[in-house]
Amino acid sequence: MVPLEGKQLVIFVLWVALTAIVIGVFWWVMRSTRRPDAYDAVSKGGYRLRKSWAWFYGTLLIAAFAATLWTVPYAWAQPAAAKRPAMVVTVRARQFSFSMPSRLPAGRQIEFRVTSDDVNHGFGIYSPQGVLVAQVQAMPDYTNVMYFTFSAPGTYTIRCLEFCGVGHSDMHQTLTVYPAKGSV
Amino acid sequence: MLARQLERTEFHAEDAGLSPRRVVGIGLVIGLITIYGLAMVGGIMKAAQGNLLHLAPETFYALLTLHGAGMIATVVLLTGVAHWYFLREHLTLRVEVLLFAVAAIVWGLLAAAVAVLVGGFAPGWTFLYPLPFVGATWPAWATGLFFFGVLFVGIGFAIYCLDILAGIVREYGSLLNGLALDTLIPRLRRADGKVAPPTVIAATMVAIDGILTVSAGTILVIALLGRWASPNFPIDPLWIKNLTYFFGHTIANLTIYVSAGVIYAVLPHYTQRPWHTNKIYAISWTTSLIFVPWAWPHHLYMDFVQAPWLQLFGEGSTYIASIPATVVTIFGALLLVYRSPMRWRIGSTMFVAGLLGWLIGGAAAMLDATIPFNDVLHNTLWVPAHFHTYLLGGVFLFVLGFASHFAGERAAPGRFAKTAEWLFFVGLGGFLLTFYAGGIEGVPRREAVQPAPGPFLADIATGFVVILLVGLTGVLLETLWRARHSAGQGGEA
Repeated sequence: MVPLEGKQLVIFVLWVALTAIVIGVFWWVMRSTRRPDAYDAVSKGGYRLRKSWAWFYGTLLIAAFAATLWTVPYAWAQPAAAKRPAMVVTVRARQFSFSMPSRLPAGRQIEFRVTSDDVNHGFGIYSPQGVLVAQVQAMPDYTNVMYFTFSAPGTYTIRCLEFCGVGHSDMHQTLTVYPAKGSV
Repeated sequence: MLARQLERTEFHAEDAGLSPRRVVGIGLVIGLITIYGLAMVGGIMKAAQGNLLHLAPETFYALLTLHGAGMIATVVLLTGVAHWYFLREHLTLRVEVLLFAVAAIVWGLLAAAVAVLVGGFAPGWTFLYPLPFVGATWPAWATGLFFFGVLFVGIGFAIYCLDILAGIVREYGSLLNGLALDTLIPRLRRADGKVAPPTVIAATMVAIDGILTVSAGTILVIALLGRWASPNFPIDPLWIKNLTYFFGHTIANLTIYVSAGVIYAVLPHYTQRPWHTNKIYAISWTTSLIFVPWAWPHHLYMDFVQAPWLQLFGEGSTYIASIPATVVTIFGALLLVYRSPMRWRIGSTMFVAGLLGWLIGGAAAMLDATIPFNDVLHNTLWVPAHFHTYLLGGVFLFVLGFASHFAGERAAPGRFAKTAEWLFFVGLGGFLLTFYAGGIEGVPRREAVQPAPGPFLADIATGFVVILLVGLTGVLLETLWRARHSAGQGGEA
């Protein structure tokens, strides 16, 4: 199994917590039918709770939306490369391979310019441990620009993440990420 | 216009022995048999991904296409007939129109099935341009036939929506009143004080957005048929990708809102409590009407070239669309159940469990629709995990609940029914968990041969699919038995 880390760990914890809370609430509501009461007796409190729930949920969503504005993976939200300009790498996808360099440096911001020669493809980057760390679509007639910095050297896997035809599951290749110049 | 044509042809379904209840029953039986078959197809695909049996990639992707397209069309059919059954209590709807709609959807399904099973059409149910035309392993006729099938399903749904909209205007004076906006705007109020009940409000939203999504789908299919007829037909890949998801996402999403209309109608029978309209419902469903069709851009987050405002608007719309569902419909349903003299039958259990599936699948969908999370979830098994949770674990449970209610539930379920129910839920839960585990592990969706741990998870999933199907068989047999032994009136009294 792939180790749970980074965003995947956050998502997993959030989903498990939400699911557990929801199941707990449903279980409690279902068991309550063993002690029936008049609707008028429960509805007033219920409407008050609904109001609080609406405020809480609405505030949560606004906060989540605001937080995403600074963390989206798009070019306009990316900081410029700290010391030197990003290294530009062109990726051309086609049924069923990628045309791109086989070696790239770690620790340097890379500007991937991703396009396709035929149908829609996905350009997914998997870490040496098998964790999906970034992706962007490869679309014909358009170039998607993605900024990414490989944090560590190793053998990464590039995998198509958009169904692209009969050879889709064979559309993956390795990428060697070498240590940044000057690193130990 | 359709009604006038029907009158001119002097076809009256009831003269042919097709009562409204019978037509609903026909739709229900066709839909349930189709879903059962398509669920088996799903199980076969899982077994193939788990290396328990061998499927050539072209066969796997053809089955994937059939499973996806077939399930969506069938769920549209099933939820549609279920809601129609209750809407007739409030609206004057013609059974002939429903019959036409059911027939159009069934013909569409058959055309798609022939295109896939005979022609080998296999670009997935989203048939994302230009895939149906580039590197195709199937003949051109299969492509054209499949698109005509989609068109037929769209026509069926559009006819259904139009008849409901006409019925709402006839009964409540306007579509604004159908949304119960007269509870907010005094000048809209009717002299007789009649206000649309929640099930009609849901129907108004679904029918308006339904027409919108079918219109988009028609433009999409016409463009693809143009390209099918002439390779030089110009299509912009980004434009058609947006259109594809506008149509595909919205029509799939609407099935849960149709189901909400069914819940509004049926849950009061089980809880013995009324479900009244108020201002909150008017605001809530108007919000859904506006924002549900705007959620589609969350399918294109990874197309970085898309306009930034559209990406953010997609995220915002998805968030906003979740508020009415959680704060009004699901909360309202739980409040109706809480400390009620609930009659626990297969139907009521399925409805409450379906609400749970809606929430859990919805939570997973919200995480996926959050842009910074989407770049590690998009097109992994997390996507089918969440939509199987709210379609199989939500909408389909509402359909099973309706089928049970429709068949008649005059006694509490016996040991056979309870065992079948538990087997079904255990199979369902285990099957869904393998999807979530695959998603969080980064296993790609739509792959005939998956990287690890995909095959291991698919093996486990196959086992749970078998349990699910055994349980489902039991639930359906129980429902059939009850239908044969009831007075043919349904209900749970």
